[in-house]
Amino acid sequence: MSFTRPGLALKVREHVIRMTRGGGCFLGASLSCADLLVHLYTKVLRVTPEALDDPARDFLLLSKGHDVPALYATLAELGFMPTARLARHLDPDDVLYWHPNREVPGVEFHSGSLGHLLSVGAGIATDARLRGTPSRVFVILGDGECDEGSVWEAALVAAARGLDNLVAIVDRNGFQANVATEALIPLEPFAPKWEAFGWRAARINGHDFDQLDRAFAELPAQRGKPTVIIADTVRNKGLPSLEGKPERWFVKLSPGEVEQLIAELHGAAAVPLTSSPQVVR
Amino acid sequence: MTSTILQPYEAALAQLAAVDPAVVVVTAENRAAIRNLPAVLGERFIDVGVAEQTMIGLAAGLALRGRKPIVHALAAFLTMRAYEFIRTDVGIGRLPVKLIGGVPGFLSDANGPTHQAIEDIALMRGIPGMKVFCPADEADLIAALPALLADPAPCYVRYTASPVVCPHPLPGQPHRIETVAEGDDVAILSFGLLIREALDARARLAADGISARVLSVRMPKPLDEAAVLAAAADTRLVVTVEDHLQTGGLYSAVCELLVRSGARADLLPIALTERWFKPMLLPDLLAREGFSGAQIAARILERLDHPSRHPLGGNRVMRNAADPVIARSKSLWARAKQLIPGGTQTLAKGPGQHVQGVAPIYLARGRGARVWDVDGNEYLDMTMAVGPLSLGYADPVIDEAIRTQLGDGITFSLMHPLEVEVAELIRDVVPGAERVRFSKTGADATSAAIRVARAFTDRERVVCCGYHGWHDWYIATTDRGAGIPAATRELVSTFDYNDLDSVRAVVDVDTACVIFEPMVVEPPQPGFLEGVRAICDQHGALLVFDEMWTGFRIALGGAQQAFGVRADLATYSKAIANGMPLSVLAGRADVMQKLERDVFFYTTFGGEALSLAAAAATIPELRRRQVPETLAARGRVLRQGFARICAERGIAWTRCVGMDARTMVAFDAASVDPLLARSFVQQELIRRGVLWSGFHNLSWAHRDAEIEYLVGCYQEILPVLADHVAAGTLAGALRGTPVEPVFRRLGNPPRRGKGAR
Repeated sequence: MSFTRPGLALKVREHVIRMTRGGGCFLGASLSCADLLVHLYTKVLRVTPEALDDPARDFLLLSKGHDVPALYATLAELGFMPTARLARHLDPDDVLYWHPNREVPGVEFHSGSLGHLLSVGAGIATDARLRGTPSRVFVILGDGECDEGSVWEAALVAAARGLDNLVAIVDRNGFQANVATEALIPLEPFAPKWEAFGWRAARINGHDFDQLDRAFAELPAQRGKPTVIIADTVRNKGLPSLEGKPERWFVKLSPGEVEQLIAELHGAAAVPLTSSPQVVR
Repeated sequence: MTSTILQPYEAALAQLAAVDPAVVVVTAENRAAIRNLPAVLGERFIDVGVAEQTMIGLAAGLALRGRKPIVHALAAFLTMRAYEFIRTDVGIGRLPVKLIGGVPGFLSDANGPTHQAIEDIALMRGIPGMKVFCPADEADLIAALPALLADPAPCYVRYTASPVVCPHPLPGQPHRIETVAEGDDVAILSFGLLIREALDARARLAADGISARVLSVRMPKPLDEAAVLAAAADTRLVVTVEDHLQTGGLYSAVCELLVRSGARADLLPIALTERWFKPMLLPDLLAREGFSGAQIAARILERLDHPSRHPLGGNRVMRNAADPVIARSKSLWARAKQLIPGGTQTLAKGPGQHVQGVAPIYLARGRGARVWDVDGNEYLDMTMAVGPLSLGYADPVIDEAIRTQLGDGITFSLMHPLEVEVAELIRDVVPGAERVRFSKTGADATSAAIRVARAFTDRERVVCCGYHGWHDWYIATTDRGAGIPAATRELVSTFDYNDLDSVRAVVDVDTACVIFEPMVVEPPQPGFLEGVRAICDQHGALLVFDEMWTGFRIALGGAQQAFGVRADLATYSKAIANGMPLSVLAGRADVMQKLERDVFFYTTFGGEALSLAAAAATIPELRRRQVPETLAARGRVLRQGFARICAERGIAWTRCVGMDARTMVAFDAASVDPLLARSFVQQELIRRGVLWSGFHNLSWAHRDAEIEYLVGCYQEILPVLADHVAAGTLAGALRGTPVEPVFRRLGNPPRRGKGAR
């Protein structure tokens, strides 16, 4: 299978936009982490559909579970399941719903309740250490998710236990639901917080594959410490008309609007959406 | 290098970890139970600090990779701080994480409400797939560990380090309820440290004649349903005792089961209601919060409305120092003598059968096998109202049936459906009951049988043997027959039980029927019942069994079932309705046909519904509780105990004889005055809290402990009696007026010529 990361990311975004049809999905967060997921699954993670039983493989946990459309699309494009299955998003006879679950091939664990998977990731990392395997555990957090005390509780524990096979990636798209993080609960200075908790922190542009290459080139960034990569991203990345819009987080669109957005994704001029925004918060 | 000394629970975990590399121990800095394990488990002991949520998430991650995490934290913070992690990571993930909660319930002592896990069972029970294990003691916990670890389900454990509090008949089977003590009146369901209090309550209840079963409900979820339903069926009160909120814990689980399964039970929850408990050290805590054995027992007595709750200061069922005070009995008796001829409505209950001056005369209430006289003295009753109380006083099932009927009415202007229903019950139980009629008392039924037999055979003469009631035809044969025409007397002859020649001597072609009790005291000799049957058949006479004592007692179907001999008519009363007045005439359809028109047998109260409701409830209960078999077994123990005492003491002039369910103490008149001997035994038993007039009329409520107590009394009394007999000082040893004979049978009247009318 030959592909370029930007090309694959474009396909992932197209799948994600199609999942806004019918019942809708969390479009904003899915598009902001599409490049992260594509990079991780193509360049970083030692995991393939054929070797899920390999005890030495890597693990990716999607702790901010609402961006699962991007994960479904990435896994489908990489052969964990047929891409045709993505059309069954929210089909009552399938299990592709708004948050991840283990019945979907390639999904490691369910999430949706925020602040859970950094500690679960610490458990998997601990198991790898006990086994003596080179497995690494990557946990994608949302920036809004970092309001949860359990994130920082787990961060303390992981640092205390020196879990340098644990890597947190924060999709720093600047929003939590329909409000900017810095307007509600400011996280900055963000990297120093993690460093103060005993983590090795890096901050990059999450849509720049060169920066991603460099950030993930050498792990652990420091022996004996867990690593956090804060990836600055843009909500609804790839759709200029929606980028950075607080009201376009959970999005439910008509078939016509979906085609409109896919055209925009591929470079066409934007046409304003007519469907009303879904304000969840 | 110092070797680590492990506590038993630690050693058990270490052993499991040694054979199973998947075992890991995780804690949120709660090391009390596992403080020595780090040295043994090394990297497989993980302490995350005071971070219960992270502990659960981490354990879930470990379990996701095939580990079997055993997680320790204080129960309150484990189940509440980390609740959503348990529910979301472990619960939704169905991961094999074992959650060990430290100092649950009352074990938090004086920590205060922040530390009180008294809703933990409710919370954990609410998680799909989650099991909840509440071991009674450390041994129970340790024995269960292999099964818990082998089970892929997540499980919450209420940790205990208690020394053994009860026997463990089912070690290593935590899914099963353990019956740690047997009992039939009350079932106490509890868990953990309260098992000890439940056992203490059981011992206290035993002193009041209440037998309590104690069940260690080790898993409130999934509940061992069969054991709970059996307890509900076998006892009259199910008590749940838990150091937990009443909402969502054991009581809730039991209620849910009972309602879902349609089982009926009286329930008493002993739990915390809508409050946290006052922080105290444990021994104080139990008593101050109402969970001590004494308080549990008191709550149960209160719920049962047991008369011993209202002590009047009288004697109890024990070796009392003196005879009971019977002032109110005597006062009532003085008034009765001014107004009520004979003083009693039932001869066997009257003062003539009890030592006057010592025995109580009036009883106020009864429960089970106990009665309380009007002065507040308590007795174990061996007379049981002269037979009707087959189940015992105030049996809750029968009383409920009576109360229910009472709500609808007592007696009606037309027939009541119960007449049909009870007749069908009797038809199904009694051999040969092709047709059934009801009346109120045994004498009604025997007299009706005589009239039907005379009508059917067109003969007048009747042959009888034992006691058949107060009506003319029978009582004329005794020395109490004043007021009965001589013509009536001349139509009845008597014979001697177990003497076929004496039967042959009085039965002839003029005989309408032979009526007798198939067994009273002596068992029928082989061939006797069959012989009487043959004599009747030979002369065309009917055979009538008077089954007042044998019916529903020697076997559910009475003597006809027990001895396999069929009568033409049979009469019943006593045991059939547990004290309510009901008698039955049943028998051959062709004979009973005479009641269609020719024979008049009607009375206002014949179809009275309370008694029929009692019978409708009693007959199935006699079968369900296996009353005939139970009475026989317990009676046999009593009879053998009596015989053993006599053998040990070389006493040959008294015996305990009769059918096992109803024996009597007989004295050999050649060696001892039976009336004096009976009086002496009675007065000594009364001082020991036993009401007795020579018979052991057992009911289902007479338990093993009571049989044992009575045998113990005989053990004390019979040697003293023997000494008096030997010394000739018996009459002087009586503290009151001795009992009197009932009546004497007269000789048979002179026979007129055969065929005479």
